[in-house]
Amino acid sequence: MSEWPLIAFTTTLQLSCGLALATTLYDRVPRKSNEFAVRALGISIFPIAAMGVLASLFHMGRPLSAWRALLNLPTSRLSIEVLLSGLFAIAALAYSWLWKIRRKKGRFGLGGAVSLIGLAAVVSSATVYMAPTEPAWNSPWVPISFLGAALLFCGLAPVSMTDLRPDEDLRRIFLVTTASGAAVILVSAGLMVVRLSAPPAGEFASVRFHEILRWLLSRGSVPLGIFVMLAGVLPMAFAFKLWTSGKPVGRMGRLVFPAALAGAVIGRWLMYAVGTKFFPF
Amino acid sequence: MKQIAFYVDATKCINCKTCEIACKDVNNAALGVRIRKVRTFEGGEFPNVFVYNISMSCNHCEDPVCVKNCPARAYTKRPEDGVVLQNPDACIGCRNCTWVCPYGAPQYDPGAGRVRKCNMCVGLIAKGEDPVCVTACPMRAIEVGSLEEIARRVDATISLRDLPLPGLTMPSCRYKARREASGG
Repeated sequence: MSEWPLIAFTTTLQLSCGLALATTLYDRVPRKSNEFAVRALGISIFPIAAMGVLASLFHMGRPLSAWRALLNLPTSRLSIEVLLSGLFAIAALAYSWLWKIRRKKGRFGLGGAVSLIGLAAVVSSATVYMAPTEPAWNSPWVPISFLGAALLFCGLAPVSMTDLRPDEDLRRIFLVTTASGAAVILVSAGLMVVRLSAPPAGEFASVRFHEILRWLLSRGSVPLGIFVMLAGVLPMAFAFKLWTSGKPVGRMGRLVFPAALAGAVIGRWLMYAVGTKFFPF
Repeated sequence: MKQIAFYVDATKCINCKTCEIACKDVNNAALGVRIRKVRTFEGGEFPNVFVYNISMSCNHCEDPVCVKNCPARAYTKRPEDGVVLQNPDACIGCRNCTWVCPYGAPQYDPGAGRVRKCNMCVGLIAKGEDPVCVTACPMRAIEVGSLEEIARRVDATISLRDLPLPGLTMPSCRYKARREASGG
């Protein structure tokens, strides 16, 4: 499969959007957490977003002509996605710079703007796949999975990386965000299977969906299981354990974020597999 | 708007793929790039089984999703005859059209980093000749003409059981197929 650049692009877009939301919250709610780690998260937003945009160029046959992707803004969802992703990367550059130079003035406002642009970019990237002519993707499970991943990263990255203390309000906020993001991802995985089980009208779609579902429940069942465990069950269990135990994050807890990230990447790979594995006519 | 269209008599098609080869030849298409494709479909239950072949390239749809979705404006629909043209020089190789076209008409050429598709041999049509797939077919199964005239033929249909629902893009191509293949 040749969709790895897009897997990298969509996942890093959601990660950087989640980090922008998280660091914006850090600026609003009083905190006692590790300033160095929070600042590292703030600074990392731009490089992650830039890496994603760079990775997306490798998907193109002619990367040097990538600017032409902006020529059809009135009717092409892909043009809108490219515009919003580019704007997000530029805004993230300014926001990460404010974190780097430790300037607090205007940072919260810019963080809010970056988060909103990021969310708009995440939604627009999901709508690219929701074409009536591609019935496997033309369903709410695609935008739900994209937004769920952004929500998961928004909660899990700070909980796992920044030594939030058990008595902090922020920690409770991020734990709820983590559990919500994981729940949304589980819902999206369920909706994907439900969608593939109920093909739209017509013999053509019926045969195609049957093939995709058969693949998903046989060879695709292992990546599906890993995706559900790593990006859904594990972060949710982690959030519940921290909430109930009231203990700080241990060394094993630090591994939950990279594990969930890997799970999200596998989930995205599955999304492209069910959409592009069985091309039409 | 006038619309010219392909008419394929699937009851005559013997799956020799001469149309496909002629198309590849005239377009100098790379290995794996199938601007016109012949595919075989099977159906029914023993002992009432059937098989039929469909030769298909771009359907030059009345509502072409490739034109709408191409971010680089590489696609245009000619107002004078409804032919959907793709400009390979404007293509950026994002492959969005290969996803949104339900018929798989746009074909990505990894070597060139761009997409190719049927342009209905507009150069030949301008000279009063037929597209190469039409002239190459030994069974005379492919024709090209006005959609208005073709659609009036008794057996002409675009609604086949193994094709996507025509309402998605309103394809201009019409087929004559055996009765069991109708539907879709």
